[in-house]
Amino acid sequence: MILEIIGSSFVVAGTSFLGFWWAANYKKRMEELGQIEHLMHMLYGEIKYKEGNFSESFQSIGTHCRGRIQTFSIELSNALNEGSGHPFFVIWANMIKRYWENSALTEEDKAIFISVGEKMGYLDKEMQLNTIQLFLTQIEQRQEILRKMLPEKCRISRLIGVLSGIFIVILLL
Amino acid sequence: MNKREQLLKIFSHNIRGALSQTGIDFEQVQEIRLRIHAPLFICYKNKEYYVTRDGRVSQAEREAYRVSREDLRETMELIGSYSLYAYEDEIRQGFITIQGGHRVGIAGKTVTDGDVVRSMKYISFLNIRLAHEIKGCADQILPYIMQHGKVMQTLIVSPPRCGKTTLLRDLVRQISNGTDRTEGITVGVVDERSEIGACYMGEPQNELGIRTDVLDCCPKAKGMMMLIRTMSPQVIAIDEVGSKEELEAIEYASNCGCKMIATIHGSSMEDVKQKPVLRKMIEEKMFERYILLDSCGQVGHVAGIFDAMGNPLYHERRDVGK
Repeated sequence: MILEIIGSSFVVAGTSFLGFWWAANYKKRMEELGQIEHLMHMLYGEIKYKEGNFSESFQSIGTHCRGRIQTFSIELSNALNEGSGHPFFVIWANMIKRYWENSALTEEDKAIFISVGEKMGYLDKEMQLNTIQLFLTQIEQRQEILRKMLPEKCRISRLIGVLSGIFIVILLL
Repeated sequence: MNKREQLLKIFSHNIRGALSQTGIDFEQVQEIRLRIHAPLFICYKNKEYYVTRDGRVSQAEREAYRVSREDLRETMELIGSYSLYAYEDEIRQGFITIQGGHRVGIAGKTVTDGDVVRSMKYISFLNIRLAHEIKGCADQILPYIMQHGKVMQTLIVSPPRCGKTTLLRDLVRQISNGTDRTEGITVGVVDERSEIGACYMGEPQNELGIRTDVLDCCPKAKGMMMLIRTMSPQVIAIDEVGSKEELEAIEYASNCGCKMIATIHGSSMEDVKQKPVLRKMIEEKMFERYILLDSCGQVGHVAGIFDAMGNPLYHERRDVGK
């Protein structure tokens, strides 16, 4: 009997943990979308006011940020400076895959983030600013949708975690 | 990063491959020319060669590597660090300065708006001119333009490609650093086309001295005013003056107590006097020294040095007295 109680507790605790982890992941995704938004706002400012090239701009962003954005920006700047001969969007996509692989972003978020690189470096300054602006609008929309659904999604995730544990225990007993 | 690395990284994959195998000394390269569907040229030790596909320099055209549109597109992308939007002004002027102070001349189809060049498309011709500093080339001139530790208002007159910018650069460096005989002086450089300092990301790639402030890519007339108001230079150096506004700014700077060292295109003093605004300045003895260069024998050969009255102080390597 004691073993059954201990076992059941472990099952409920395990599934609950998964539910809570899932809920935390939604919050993390919200934060990461905010980080990307911040990065692109800074890039917008760098291009608009300093009129620097991408390498200079990302180097400058890297010195003003911390964490993942800092690493991503500085590494991207270095890769652009290397003159590998690969097109910009290839370098951009590789860096996103490398530095945002273990993130809470969905595949769709990442695809949008990568696709903005396909249009950058093309034509004039206005074009760069408009591309970034369009991307920022898309990110804001995704944040807005997530923000509205976040409390409910978190509650459901936690609830499903706990209830699924109880359900498994009932089934097993 | 050495000159070889600085240069190779701006070329397309194929051209980079060919150039990297040549084994030439990049310090001795003057120019590399890319023209669409034409051979890849290199000007090496004052002689023109073709670069072959297998990475040799040759004088046989049939062996030459032919530059493709893809090569030009890729090369432009690398020259502009994937950000040609950031070089709109430079492209309008027809050149981009890259790391190391090397200058890339650009030609293609211009997009105009009335008389103004708005942009350039179908970029099909590139001329990569390598920066060369000749430290010490002003040694011979310096004593003539300094009196009691002060710089005299100087105009360097020279035909194109005779070394006037190189001479100006070395004068700036020596005046700014000071020499055994003179103390260093604060110098302001208005470098409208980045030819003097060859600034890359705000950093002069050529040595201009420890007391030199550079206003890069700034119109000369405006730049002179800005420097006087903000950096209080004792000497201002500018390259290739000619417009009325620029000469008016020189007059203003002189009245503010600043000494000018300027260069101008011309083959002789008579030629310079043909320019109406300049003639007036010469007549008013605005300049205290005139240095005349030609390429007789070698680039940067000093044909003569004259005072404000037009009296020769130095002529054809024969010192007439200071």
